[in-house]
Amino acid sequence: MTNYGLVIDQERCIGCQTCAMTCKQENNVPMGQFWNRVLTVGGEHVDTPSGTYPEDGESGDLDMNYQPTACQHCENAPCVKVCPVNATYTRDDGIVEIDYDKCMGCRYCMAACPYNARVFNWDEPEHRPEDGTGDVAERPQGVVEKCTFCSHRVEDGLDPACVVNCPADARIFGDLDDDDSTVSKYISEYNTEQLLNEKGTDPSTYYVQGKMTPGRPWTSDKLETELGDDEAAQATRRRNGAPTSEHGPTPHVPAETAGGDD
Amino acid sequence: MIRYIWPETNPCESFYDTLYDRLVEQGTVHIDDDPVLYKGEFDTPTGRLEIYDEDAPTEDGDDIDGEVSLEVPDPIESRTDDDGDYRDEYPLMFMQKHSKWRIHSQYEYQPWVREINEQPQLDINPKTAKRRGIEDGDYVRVFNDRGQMIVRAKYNDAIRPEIVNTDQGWWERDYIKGHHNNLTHMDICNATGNFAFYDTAVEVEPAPEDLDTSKYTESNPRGSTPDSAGGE
Ligand code: SF4
Ligand code: SF4
Repeated sequence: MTNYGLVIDQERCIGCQTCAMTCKQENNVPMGQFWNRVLTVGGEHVDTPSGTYPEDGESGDLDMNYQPTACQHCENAPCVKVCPVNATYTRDDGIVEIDYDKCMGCRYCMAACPYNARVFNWDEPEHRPEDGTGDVAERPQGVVEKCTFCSHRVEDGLDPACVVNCPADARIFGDLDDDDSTVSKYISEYNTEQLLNEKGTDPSTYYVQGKMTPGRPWTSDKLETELGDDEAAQATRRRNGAPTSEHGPTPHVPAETAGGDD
Repeated sequence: MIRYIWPETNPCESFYDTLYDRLVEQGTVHIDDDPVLYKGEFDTPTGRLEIYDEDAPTEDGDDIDGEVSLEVPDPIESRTDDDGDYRDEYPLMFMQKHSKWRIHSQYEYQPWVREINEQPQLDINPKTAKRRGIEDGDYVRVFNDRGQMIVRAKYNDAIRPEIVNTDQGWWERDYIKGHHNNLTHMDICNATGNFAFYDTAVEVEPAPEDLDTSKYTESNPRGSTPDSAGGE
């Protein structure tokens, strides 16, 4: 079975908000709404640290980190359980998705989701540009919407848009059920945390903290210059979101579903 | 997209039209390119890119003596000031750092980016602000002899108490009043032979109470203002 998951390396993340922006573009997310938010861990605002500025020889305690947060695609998803009309459901590949035709806008799922991952279209959705963007149809007023792991891309053998476009290679997508996938390797080799683990939701999104991973394109600790030609070509293809062959590091989206065009 | 980027009035319109038509006709191509451009050593003591250099040229300020110093230097204008009290009047140094939100003033109008980075703000150390009776999120007046601007204060412990910052690139229409370049000067810095925009002396005070800030009253779900997400 395929069970998709996402690893976000918080040691690599530079808080650039590219994932938040590209998500809006790819998924035609209305104005005023975000499926993918980059929060700041530290001070009160975006881009402020905790602690105080060191003065007169004091040692500094300034500390700041970024927390990119979207739907965690929980394996034990409370939103799925509370939906009275089964509009929110878990697909066979682990992606938690909403059937917008069934959603009646009761917002039970928003109350149940501990990650604030869902947004509700209170008004007629507005887009910039006005005709909308990306490859996904707009959702009507009165429904709840959220991150889909870019299921429309995944079905075409492409990584989600936030993964492809992260300039820090901090986001790695793949099959958690495949021990050879990059996500599985990173989860076993690095210290990863699931958000609000105590809630028993078992998110499919894992955050690397502590030691930094080599990032998205590589499963080795080699530098790009040290990769052989084959590996380098694979890495470039992966960086561009294109499917890779069975040689080299394991593709993020299984090869048999590949065939899309970026 | 490309048609959209090049304005109608561009003198080279026909040139870009040709490019655009070729792009539509021929499509794009993926080139397997080696993205690492520089593999050799730089001409520095370590052979690496060096961010901090003990021997870099410095300004000859009174309190610097040609040495690298971590003190905030006396502003250029107070060094050339006749009675020397410019610094007392305007004790804060005003920077306009580059931000991740724009390239200079380009993309200032991007509605998606503006949902996160809504309006100009003044990064100010909470100590500096409190001494002036300024709360986090208050509108403040930043001024010197040349001019003023009115922006929203953002408490930021990462900024040292003697310095304040507003990101460069905002347009005049983005300000409640004034503009950051009303404050800057055209004095030349000895070290670089260029304008010393960061070497600008200012003072900050709470904005007048009757200020019309209605252009930014809609509640912004995100952004760097106190009522937006981004804590936790
Ligand atoms: S795009 Fe990557 S580096 Fe930028 S905020 Fe998102 S996860 Fe972090
Ligand atoms: S993060 Fe929220 S919306 Fe996503 S699966 Fe978990 S409970 Fe549901």
